Amino acid sequence: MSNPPEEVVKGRKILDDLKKGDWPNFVKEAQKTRYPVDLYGASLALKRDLFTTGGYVSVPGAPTGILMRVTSRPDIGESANIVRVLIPSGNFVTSEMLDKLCDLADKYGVGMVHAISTGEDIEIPGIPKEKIRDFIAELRQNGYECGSTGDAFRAVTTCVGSALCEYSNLNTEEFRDKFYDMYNDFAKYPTFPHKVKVKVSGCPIDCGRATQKADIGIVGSWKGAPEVDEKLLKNLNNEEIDGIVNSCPTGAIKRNGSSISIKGEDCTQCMICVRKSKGAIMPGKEKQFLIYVGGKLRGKKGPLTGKLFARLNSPEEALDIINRIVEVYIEQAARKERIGDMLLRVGMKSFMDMMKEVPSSMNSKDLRTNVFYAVNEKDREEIPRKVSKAVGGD
Amino acid sequence: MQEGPPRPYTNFIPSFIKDSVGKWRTHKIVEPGIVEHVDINGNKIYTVRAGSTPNGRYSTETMRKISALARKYSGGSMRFTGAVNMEFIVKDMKDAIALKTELEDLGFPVGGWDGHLWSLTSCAGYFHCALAATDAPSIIQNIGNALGKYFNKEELRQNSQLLHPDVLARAETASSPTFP
Repeated sequence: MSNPPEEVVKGRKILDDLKKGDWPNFVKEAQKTRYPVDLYGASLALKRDLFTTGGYVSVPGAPTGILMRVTSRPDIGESANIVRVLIPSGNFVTSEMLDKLCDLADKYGVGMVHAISTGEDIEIPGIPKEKIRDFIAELRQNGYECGSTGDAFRAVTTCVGSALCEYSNLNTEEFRDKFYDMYNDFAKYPTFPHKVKVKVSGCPIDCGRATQKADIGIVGSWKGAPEVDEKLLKNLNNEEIDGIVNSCPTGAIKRNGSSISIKGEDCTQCMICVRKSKGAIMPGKEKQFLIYVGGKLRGKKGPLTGKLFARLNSPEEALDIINRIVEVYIEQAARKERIGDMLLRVGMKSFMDMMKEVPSSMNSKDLRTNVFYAVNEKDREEIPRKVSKAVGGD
Repeated sequence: MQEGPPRPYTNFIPSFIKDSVGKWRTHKIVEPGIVEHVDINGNKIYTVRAGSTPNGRYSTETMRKISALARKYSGGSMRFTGAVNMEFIVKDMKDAIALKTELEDLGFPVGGWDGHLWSLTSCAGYFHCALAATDAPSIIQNIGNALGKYFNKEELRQNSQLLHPDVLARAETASSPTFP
C-alpha cells in the first residue's frame, strides 16, 4: 500500500497522544501484538465504530463461546473474531493455564489475551473464521472449554469466598464447581429465551453482585444475630466500640459497659459492624442461603434489582431450585425476555404459584422442555413439598 | 474429557492456602496494595494487588511475564478480580515487597485498597465492540494518567470506585486529559 487513507494518518496521531502517561497503556500493549491498531486509530479519528457482528459460525462441540466480528473497512484491518474461554472458580488461574492460552493466542489469534473480561472469562481475540475450528479443538484437548455467549447460562461469577475471605458463609468456589457438574448442558447449549446470569456471593456484602446483576443470585447468610468474640472485643478502644454501636442502621446493637449485645430479629445483615470490628464480630454460626431472582442491568424494562425468592438451609437445595426456576422461565418467558422482565409481566405471586406446580409432561405448555423429565412416585410427593416449603408455603 | 470450566478449584489455588480455605480469621491492610490475611491457626499470607490496562488486554509477551511472576512468587497461581485488577497471593512480606518492585518495573502500579482509587475498568469500546457509540478505553486511559496517583500514593477520603468530586476538581486544575 503506497499511501494510507487519511483517517489512518489522523488516527496514528491520536494513538501517539494516547501512548503518553503512567497508567498501564493499552495502546502500547496492542502495538506489541498483531491486532490491527490502525483500524482502532481510524475509528477514533472518524468517531465511529468500525466493527460489526459477523453472523454465526458452526463449530462442532462449541454452540456457545464464539463472538463473530467483521470490519467495515477491510482495507485498513482484518476481522477480529473472539473466543471466550471459561476460567476456574474464584477467578484463580495457574501459570500453566496462562502460558497455554498465550501459546494458543500466538498460534491462532493476534497474540493478545483479554484477562479478564467484565463477564469474568478470558477472551482470545483476533481468530480468523477458518482457524476457529482448529483453535477450539486444541483448546479442548488441553482441558479448557469455551462458552458464555448466547442464550445459555453465562459464566457463573463468584466472589473470592472461603478461599481468601473470613466473612464467607458459603464456599463459593465449591458451589460453582457443583453448579457446572449439574448444569453444564444448560451452560453449553443455548436453550433459554434469553441469557441467564448466575452469580454467587459468600456474604451479604455481596462482592459478587448477586443481588444486583444476576438473574439468579445466591448469597450466603446466617440466621439471627452475628457472633461476638468477647476476647477480640477487648482489643478495641472506647471510641471504636461506640462507632460500631452508632453505625448500626436499625439500632440492634446495645452496649453494656465493655461488652455489646446484638438483637437478632432487628439485624438486617448490612455487615457494617462486622467490617468495623477487626474480627470481633463475625457472621453467625447457623447459616442460611438466599436466592434472589430477576436482577439485571439491561433489557426491555431497564435495570432491576433481584427479589428475595427463598431462604434455604443448604447450598445443595439452591442447586435443585435453580433447575425449577429455569424450567418455569423456559415455559413462561417470551423470546428475548430476561427473568426480571418476566417477573414484572406475570407478577411475583403467580411466579411463586408456577414454581409450586407439579412438574409433569402433562401440564407443560412446551413439550420440548419437559418430555424427558422422569418423576418417580417418591419425587412426585417430595418435589412440590420441598419447593413450596422453600418459597414460604406450609 | 471433563466438560465445562476446569475443576476442581483446589487445583488452581496456591498450595500454601489449601489448608486455610474456610478458616480465615482477620485481615489488615499493610499498605495500599498489600493485605495480610491470618487464619485461625495463625498462618499469615499476603495478597498483592496491581492495576491493569484500562480494558484488561495484554500482549502475550506481557502476559508471559505476569505468569512468570506468579510462578516465581505465588506458587504458580494468581487471580484476576472482577474489577479487572491482578491479585497475587504470597507467603511472606519479603516476597510481597519483591513482587511489588517487579510489578512496578513491568509498569503495573501496586495499590487499590482502603481509602484509595480501587479500580479503573472500561468496556471494549471501539476496540472490539460492534455497538459502541463512543470509545471507553481511551477515556479510562486518560483518567488513569491523570488520577493514577490516587491508586496508591495519595488517599481519597472514602473507599471509592467512583471519583470523589474534590479529586475531580483538583485533577481538572492539575492537568487536563488529552482526549481528542
